[in-house]
Amino acid sequence: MGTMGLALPWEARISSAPRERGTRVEPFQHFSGGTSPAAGDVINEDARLAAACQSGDVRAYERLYVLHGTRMKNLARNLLGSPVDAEDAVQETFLKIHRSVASFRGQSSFVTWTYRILINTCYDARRSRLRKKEIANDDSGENPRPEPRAPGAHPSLRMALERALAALTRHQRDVFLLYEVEGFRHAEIAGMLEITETASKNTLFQAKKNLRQMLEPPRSSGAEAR
Amino acid sequence: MTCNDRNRIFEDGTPGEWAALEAHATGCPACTEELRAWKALSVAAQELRNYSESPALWTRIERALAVETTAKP
Repeated sequence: MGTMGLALPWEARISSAPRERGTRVEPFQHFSGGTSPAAGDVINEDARLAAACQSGDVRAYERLYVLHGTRMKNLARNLLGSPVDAEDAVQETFLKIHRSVASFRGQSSFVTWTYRILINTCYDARRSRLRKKEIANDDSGENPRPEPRAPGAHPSLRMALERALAALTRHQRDVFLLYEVEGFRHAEIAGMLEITETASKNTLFQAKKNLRQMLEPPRSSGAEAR
Repeated sequence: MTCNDRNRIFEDGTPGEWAALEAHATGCPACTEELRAWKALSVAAQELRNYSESPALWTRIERALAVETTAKP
């Protein structure tokens, strides 16, 4: 089996029972969307947070950081490949929110808007980094710098996944990270990436199909389709 | 439920359709393998999750916000 030279220890950790639409593991309670009574509280919290940020209350920004800072940093780290660049991107995102929050009109949730800014900030940072590398004629590539790993993480699997993600299209990578890693719903991802929910689902499907081919090419077994 | 439904369910299946696919897979090695690989990607994605705190980051952001506020005309 071709697994990029890795023995991927996946099988042992897979539950036999499907989770919501295919075993996604939820990292957080969701902060927006949905129609449950709790979702109403979340929407109110989102609106209150937006209003407080618009009033210039620094405690509102701190609240936003407490609620989303670690997830924002994780997403940025996965998009930029470096924890240092990720922290810069999160800081820059907060400054951009501060500069433009007056123009926020609630077309999407405040949190969705925040993540949209973060994602755009990360891509601006990537472009800027590439330009600097071109100028410096640095041929070291865009390989992520080594970093401390999460407790219990499997470094070879993570590295294989990071390499495979780098080979996806931008949209496929974004949707995979937002859905599978950060646990957002397709409706939320659609708002962040300004695409339809259907496009988000289709993009995730394509991303996973491609990742599967890269990480674990289909076995040539005698199993026939039924 | 047949193997031909599999990709559609992977893309946008309802919980009921997922359950039907699971049931079908118990007698279908091809679908068993595809389901395993599909779910494995979701599990592997957890390797990219590192929610460690950055105690100094908020302080940095707060300071930058303060600088920006005082610099505003």
